[in-house]
Amino acid sequence: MATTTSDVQIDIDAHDAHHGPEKGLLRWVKTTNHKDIGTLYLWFAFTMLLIGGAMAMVIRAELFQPGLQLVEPQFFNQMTTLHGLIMVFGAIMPAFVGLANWQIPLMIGAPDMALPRMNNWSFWILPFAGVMLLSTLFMKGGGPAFGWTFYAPLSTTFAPESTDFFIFAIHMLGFSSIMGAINIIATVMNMRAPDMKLMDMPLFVWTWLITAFLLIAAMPVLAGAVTMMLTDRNFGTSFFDAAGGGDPVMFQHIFWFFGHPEVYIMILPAFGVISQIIPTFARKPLFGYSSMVYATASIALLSFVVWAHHMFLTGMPIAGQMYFMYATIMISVPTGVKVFNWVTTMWRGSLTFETPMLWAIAFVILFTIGGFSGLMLGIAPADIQYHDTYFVVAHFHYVLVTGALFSIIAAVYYWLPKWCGRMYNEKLARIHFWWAVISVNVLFFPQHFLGLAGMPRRIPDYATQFADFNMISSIGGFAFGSSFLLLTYIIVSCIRSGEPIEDERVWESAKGLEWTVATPAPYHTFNEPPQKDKILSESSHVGAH
Amino acid sequence: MSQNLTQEERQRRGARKTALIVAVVAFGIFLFTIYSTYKQ
Repeated sequence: MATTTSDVQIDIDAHDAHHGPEKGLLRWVKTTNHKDIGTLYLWFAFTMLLIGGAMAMVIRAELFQPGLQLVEPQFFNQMTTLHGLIMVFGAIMPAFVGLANWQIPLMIGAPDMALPRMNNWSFWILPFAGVMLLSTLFMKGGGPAFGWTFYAPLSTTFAPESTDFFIFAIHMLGFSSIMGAINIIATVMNMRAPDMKLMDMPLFVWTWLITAFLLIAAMPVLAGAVTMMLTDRNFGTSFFDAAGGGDPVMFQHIFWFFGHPEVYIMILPAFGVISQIIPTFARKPLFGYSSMVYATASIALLSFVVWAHHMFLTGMPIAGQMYFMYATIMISVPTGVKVFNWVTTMWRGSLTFETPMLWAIAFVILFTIGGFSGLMLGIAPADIQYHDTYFVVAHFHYVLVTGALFSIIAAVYYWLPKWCGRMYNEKLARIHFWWAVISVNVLFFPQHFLGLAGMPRRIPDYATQFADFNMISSIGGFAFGSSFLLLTYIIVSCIRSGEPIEDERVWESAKGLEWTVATPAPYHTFNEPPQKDKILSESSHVGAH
Repeated sequence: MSQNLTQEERQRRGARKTALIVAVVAFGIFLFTIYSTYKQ
């Protein structure tokens, strides 16, 4: 009997499925396996989270009481700058890419990411970029101290020499993100199980697909901005130098044209995670699946037309202020659809409150608080009062910590048993949840009051009228920071010695193709794509088919 | 010829095309950012 090319190919695949990962450290250097790379991303993000968190502890320690106690003002500014950059580019974004790497192929029935070698490269750029960014702290003149927004001319004319290393690090981080986004788009568009239509995809995959398009549109703008900074600093151009005919305000426009979609890059995958977890523990299909997809797409589109609400005080015509104010407030409509759908999914469900569900509910409540304070900031006349105060700091930490970070922690508790085949200690995990959720509110809620009372952000010292709330905030900060030591212990002890699980479906009501593979997830999965009936029976929503 | 390709290989070929298109778009946005700032 003649052997066709496809028979040979199937034989190769079958052989490939039998061998596991390479032994030793080189496994991690050379790997092209989506699960390995997902793990690398997640550990890298966790390491950067601890480093960025340590910087936050320095900030809160200095602000514990008025006066200059621990660090020089210049070093304080370096801490606020690097804390922001590391958390955004080193912790939150890589953590979501790690989750995408682990979950997207499993959720769409694909054997791996579409471009596995590029996937390896996307990851291995990150540690070098991270080290380069951190190394600026030890250079002459210190690290970047101009805030994570690096406005010109602070970041061009008046910046330390290390800024060129910062620029190179941002280039590398951006390049990594773009390659990651290309890989996710190619994987979702081309590698889905042949019988899976777009509207059969789980919400996490949908939100990541839309996020990847946001990355493709936004990150090159950031790359362009830092490239122009580089040439302004070193090659005699004047893109942002008024003395040479350039425009420093243009930098702000370009930065925020990237910066506002960046906010949604960090929150849309969080929406996806929560949309997976809530139906599982409410034991109901996700309410309004298609409206969730359209709401996500609407938020993504609107995110490109609201950037100047960050610049109300930079100066713009009243018509511009009106436009950006109303456009910003419009985003609350699709966001409200999402919150409504999550609550309605829980409505009359058979709720249980395992740890991932606790984090998901905390997300819904606390992210909504962050959304509301965002609405307040979007109102142009009110923003004159709030701008550059601790109210802004409180707002974006509610969005990014109790929003994005909480969803990442929820995702880790939700999928970790599937990844490693062991269950975490539920009792310790609940202690961790309550410890973190109480302390994070002690940390950030008083900052609303500080901002409303007029305390500016990015200052190492403050008037004595702000002392009490700063002390409370710092105590909350130390407590929240220490909760990550417990999280580290819970994760490590789960991986090393957690109770083994053999059920494919770790959570009894979980739906999705990832719960149809063995536990722990084998090194190679879906060498044969799942069939239509399996895809439909594992769908966590109704109405799409 | 293409009829002999496996499903996965067909998908990977499509994925490479998608990736190339998206990469070109991203590079175009990068160049346009700098060009439009220059023209300002």
